[in-house]
Amino acid sequence: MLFNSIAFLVFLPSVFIVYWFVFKKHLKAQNIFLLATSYLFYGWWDYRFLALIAASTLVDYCIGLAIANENVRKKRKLLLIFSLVFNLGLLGFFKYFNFFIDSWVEMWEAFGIAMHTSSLNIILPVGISFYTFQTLSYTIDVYRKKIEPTKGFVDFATFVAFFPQLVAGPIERASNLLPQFKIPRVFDYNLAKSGLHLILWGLFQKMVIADSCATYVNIVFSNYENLNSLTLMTGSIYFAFQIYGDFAGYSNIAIGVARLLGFRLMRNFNYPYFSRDIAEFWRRWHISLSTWFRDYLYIPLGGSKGSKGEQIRNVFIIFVVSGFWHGANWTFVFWGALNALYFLPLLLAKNNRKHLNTIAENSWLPNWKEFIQILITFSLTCIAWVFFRSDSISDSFSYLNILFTNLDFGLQYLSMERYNVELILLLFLFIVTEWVFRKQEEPLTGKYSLLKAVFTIFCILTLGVYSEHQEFIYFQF
Amino acid sequence: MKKLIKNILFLVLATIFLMYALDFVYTYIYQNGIPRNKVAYVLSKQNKKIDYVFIGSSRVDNTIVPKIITEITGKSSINLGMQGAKPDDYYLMLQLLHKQNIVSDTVFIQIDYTFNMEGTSDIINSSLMPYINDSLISSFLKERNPNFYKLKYIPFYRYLTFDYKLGFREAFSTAIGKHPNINLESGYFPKYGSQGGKLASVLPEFINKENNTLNKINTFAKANDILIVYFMAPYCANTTNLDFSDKLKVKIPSMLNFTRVFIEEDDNFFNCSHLNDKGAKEFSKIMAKSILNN
Repeated sequence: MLFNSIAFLVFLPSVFIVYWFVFKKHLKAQNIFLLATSYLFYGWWDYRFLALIAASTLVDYCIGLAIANENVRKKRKLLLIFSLVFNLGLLGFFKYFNFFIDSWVEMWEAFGIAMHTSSLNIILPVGISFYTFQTLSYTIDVYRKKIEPTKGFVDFATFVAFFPQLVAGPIERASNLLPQFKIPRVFDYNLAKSGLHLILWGLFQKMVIADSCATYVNIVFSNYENLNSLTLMTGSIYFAFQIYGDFAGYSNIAIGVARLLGFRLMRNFNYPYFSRDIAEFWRRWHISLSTWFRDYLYIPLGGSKGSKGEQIRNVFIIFVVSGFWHGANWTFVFWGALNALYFLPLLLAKNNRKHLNTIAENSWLPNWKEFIQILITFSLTCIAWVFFRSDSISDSFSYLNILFTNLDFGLQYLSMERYNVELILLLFLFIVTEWVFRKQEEPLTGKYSLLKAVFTIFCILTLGVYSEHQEFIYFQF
Repeated sequence: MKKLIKNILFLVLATIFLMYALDFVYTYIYQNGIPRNKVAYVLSKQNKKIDYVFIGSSRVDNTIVPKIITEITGKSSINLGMQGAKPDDYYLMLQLLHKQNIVSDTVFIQIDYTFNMEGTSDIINSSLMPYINDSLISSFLKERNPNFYKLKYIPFYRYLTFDYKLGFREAFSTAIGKHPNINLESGYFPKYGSQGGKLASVLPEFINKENNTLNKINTFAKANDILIVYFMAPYCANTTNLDFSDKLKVKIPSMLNFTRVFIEEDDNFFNCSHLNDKGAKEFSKIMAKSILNN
């Protein structure tokens, strides 16, 4: 079920009413209801894959309890390894099996040795990368004795399958979300209202910004050989906003829906395109994944401690794995490696934690230095996005080659009376709006919030894309 | 909770109000602004005489140059071909012309593999949305579009459904009087050069027994004293089942068969089933001479 679908428009109010009016005073009933609706939400796409979530839930629930009851360190480790192998095994099979087979065959063929391919027709279960990481964080935290295992199976199952963030995050930590299933939920008007604002803003980001950009991006990336520098430049900028609007939009809706139900999820995006360097960008982009990798991969590897060589190794591992997490294609791996290259100079110069404050905190506009820093960071990000969006690495290089060598910056017709620069005004207004409200979670809160909400609905109705229905990009991850 | 429900209710009511208001504004703009597609163009004209009218799909839209037809025959002409149009759309266009009292000596209808088709196209459906309350268009859509009731009765739904053709950018362009990239007085939409790649097309192996919509067109034409001439526009040499045109000729003996007129001249084609500007100009001369000879 998609957040921007008619089905969800019926689903959410129904869940809200039953949850708050029928089961208001029964915590257990509320949780069972949430679990049932979460399975319905997921099963709407393909009910067969509910078995995967259920299996993952059961395994990690049992392993969590077993680890807590086990005092022998070796056995605890063995249990953790079992959980890792099981979860990553499922992820590896469904997401990467064909990729490895194809890469293996291609490698031999590069040496002139023909091989028979036997890749399987595997459907990638929606959200598998998200809920796998969520359950893994639980088991690892129990192993590290950071949290106590939960005895309530329903609580744990609901934590794994909680529908607002099940298919595309934010990837929640058990230490934050799990306890919320255990305490009675009291309706909080301010929390619910902020949730409503996040939902509206998320819909705007998805339907107006991301989907408008998608129309142009699809034309540009499928026909880049015949387009000029300006079109390719706008194409990569449009994709930057498509993926931002798409994913931040989904996250905002997810967080908003959770708030309507009385839950607080972690923030996933914090105006990433106003970052002054790549390190800051990664603290503001897909925060739940970045911090996951930091806590469960980067720090255990040694983080920024150790020799220079080890530091470089750790940075590359975390970025390449992060790229690979996004999809089974070398383009994602390259995208990750490129970000590691961007990040490395900052780390080596110990400048990676330089920009921790809000940009231009006490002024309306950034100063020249900040403005140039933002521009450089955004440009680097856009170059990296070309690898993320292209079908192959060679396509990415060809795209960038034409972009930098064609040097024709003229107006270019794309299709259906659309020209290359047309979205610039819309994106400019979007950037200005985000800039003005960068100190708060979303622009709708504050003075005249109702009026701003109505205006947002007006924009969604008039500027939203409805006919060329675009699925959320991150569903495929 | 009451406060939140009040807020939600307010937003729901505001949304409904906005949908009504936007529906009214968009409809007003489309009905009163400059026409930017062929349906709007026909509906903006009344009591007019156009000697030769050409109806069909993109194989008319990109093929017939009315200026050349008029130069050679000395008669007025218009190209009402539309991308993706199907027989039902031809029939509707014929009815709209009649309704607007736009009379003509001859209506030429391009027919090809569409003989095996019934139904209407999405693009034509989108053009009809601002006029959904018109009785003729309403009954046309009611019979063919499964979403008819939603389109007609949910305010603004019709513009959301077809936003790629009737959304904000189109409404804005219409409101500011921006002319479309096609001259609707002529209706010819040229394609230049070649699409690239090897020219190839496939026609159906078998032909249907009959086409119900064409039967309706013939009945309608007879009842209203309209002369209909069917023709089949050129295909390139590398067309599989090119003899489909011969089978069609058997079904419609009066059909003018131009399928093979450029069989040795691939440079006239944008792609195998569509002429480029050069080809369209050449073909229009052939068509005009054919009109004079018949």
